[in-house]
Amino acid sequence: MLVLTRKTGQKIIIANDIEIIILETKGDAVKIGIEAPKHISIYREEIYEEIKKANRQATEQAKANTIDEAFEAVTLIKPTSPRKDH
Amino acid sequence: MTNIIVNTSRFGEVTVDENRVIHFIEPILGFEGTRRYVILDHSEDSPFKWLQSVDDPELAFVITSPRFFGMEYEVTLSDDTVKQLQLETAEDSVVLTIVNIPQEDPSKMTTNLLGPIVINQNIRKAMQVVLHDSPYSTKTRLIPDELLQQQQTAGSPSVRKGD
Repeated sequence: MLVLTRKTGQKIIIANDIEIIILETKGDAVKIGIEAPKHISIYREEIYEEIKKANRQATEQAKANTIDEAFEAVTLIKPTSPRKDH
Repeated sequence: MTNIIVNTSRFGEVTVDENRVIHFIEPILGFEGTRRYVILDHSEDSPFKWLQSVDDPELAFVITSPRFFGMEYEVTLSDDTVKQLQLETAEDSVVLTIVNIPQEDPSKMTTNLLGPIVINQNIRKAMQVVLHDSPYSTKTRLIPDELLQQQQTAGSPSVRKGD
């Protein structure tokens, strides 16, 4: 792994079109700004992994074909007022 | 109009209009091998649909619209995502979310509000958008426990015949 030391306000350039700038450091937190072409996806690692895992789980569960049972559960529920609990 | 045949492990060979194929400009995370999908109906009145891969017969997701479940679900897209999907107005887009139905208790199904599937319905391009700095979760219950309990109580004959 390439390791570079940077100060606040300094940048790293990757492959001509990606810029990473250190905006602020506070205790053990570092605020980073990233400029990249729009086709390059940028994720926080833990969220990336969580969504990947959720996708895999969903397809695995879908193999069991419980969609009809899920639909049945839905039909038993009366229409509700708008929810805000998510 | 040209039809294509999609091989699926669930429904066998399905013939669909080529114009119904949705191209993912970014693959669904974890499924980098396929970018072409079709949406297949589950059944009439069902809030669920299948997002079936055109390239992999085994690969399909159950998807839904959270609004069907009474959720106030709003997705704010970044300028980059809007450009990538070539969205001109909000009406161009359809937002659907992936459903996870646990085998052991399907009524406890959840949906992923943090990583919705956004489709430009005019040009049939789509991507799974990861919402940054959002309060949403990957596992939001579609039917909360309170509703399931209400339903069980209401469905019980002894209660109905009560007084």
